[in-house]
Amino acid sequence: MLTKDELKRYERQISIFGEDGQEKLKKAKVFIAGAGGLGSSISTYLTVAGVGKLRMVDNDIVALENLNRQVLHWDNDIGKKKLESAAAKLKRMNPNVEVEVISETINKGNIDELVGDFDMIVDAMDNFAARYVLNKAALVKKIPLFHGAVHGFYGQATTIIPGKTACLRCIFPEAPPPTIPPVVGVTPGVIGCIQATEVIKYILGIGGLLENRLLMWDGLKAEMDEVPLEKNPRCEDCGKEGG
Amino acid sequence: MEVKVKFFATFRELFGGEKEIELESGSNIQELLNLLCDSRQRRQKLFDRSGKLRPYIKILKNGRSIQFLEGVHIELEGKDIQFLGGIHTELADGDVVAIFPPVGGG
Repeated sequence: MLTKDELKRYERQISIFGEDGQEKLKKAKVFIAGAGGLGSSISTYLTVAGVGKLRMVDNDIVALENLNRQVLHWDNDIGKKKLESAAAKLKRMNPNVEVEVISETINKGNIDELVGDFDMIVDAMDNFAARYVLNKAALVKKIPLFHGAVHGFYGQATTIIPGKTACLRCIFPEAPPPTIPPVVGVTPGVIGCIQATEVIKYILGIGGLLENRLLMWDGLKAEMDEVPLEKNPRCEDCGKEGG
Repeated sequence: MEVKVKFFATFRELFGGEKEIELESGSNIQELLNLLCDSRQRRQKLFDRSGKLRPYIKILKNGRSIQFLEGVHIELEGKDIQFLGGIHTELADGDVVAIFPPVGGG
């Protein structure tokens, strides 16, 4: 049941998808991998939308050079754990949302336990090695993975539904070499909002998702393109069990 | 014949956004890439030192990843080589080719 506060707080979106939709958001449990640039915008918008439970995992400390893009962390947070900083802000934005934070580095040994019984995984990582770990976990647990990545003014996003769409390994069989990419804060803002939009629609079961479509954002030209994707029948991650 | 090439993400800085390229009929993706890589810098972005296409680069012809086009699974000197046909995919007049690297930041 929604409380009086919630009915008022979400009034302008309940008029789109009704109290039933809002209840669905309240019941959802969303796992967010990363509390950096993408993680900041994803968690902010899922928090204010009233997603019931967020679990964020990250193991970084807030540094001065993060502040151009990681908007959950402020000047006086430098030196703190990113997750403490993130949790403090998100709880103040919306006390109805349960924000759980775990300070760990995601790897293939701990991912199953970290995700636990959560309904979906949102990719807010900054490297492909970790993204492949998320991809595997999503496939094993048969839960969606909302992929996003950025570089400079460029970004990409897609929604991976195990058994239905191409998985991350089908799309990118090999990782690009690791780099420290330049990033303008607005880019993870845009891409994180697209990922959060996908999460909300998935929970509500409305609209169309970025299934088998890679959205490409070019902030410099203000252009959005789309590239079709397909499953790789020989994919080493989903080829056999993905169906 | 003429094909349209679209670059995305960071390749736009190096190659520009969209190009019409004149090719001899019967040309394939490899020949198109050779033509596009007209500088050392461009060549290095697409190919490694041995001249092999960098494996993380995505190339699509008319909306289909070339790894799925004419793709064959073969064994060469005991090693499993996947999708060898990809870069040898033939092009036709009016084809649209998209080329981009994944971006990886967060």
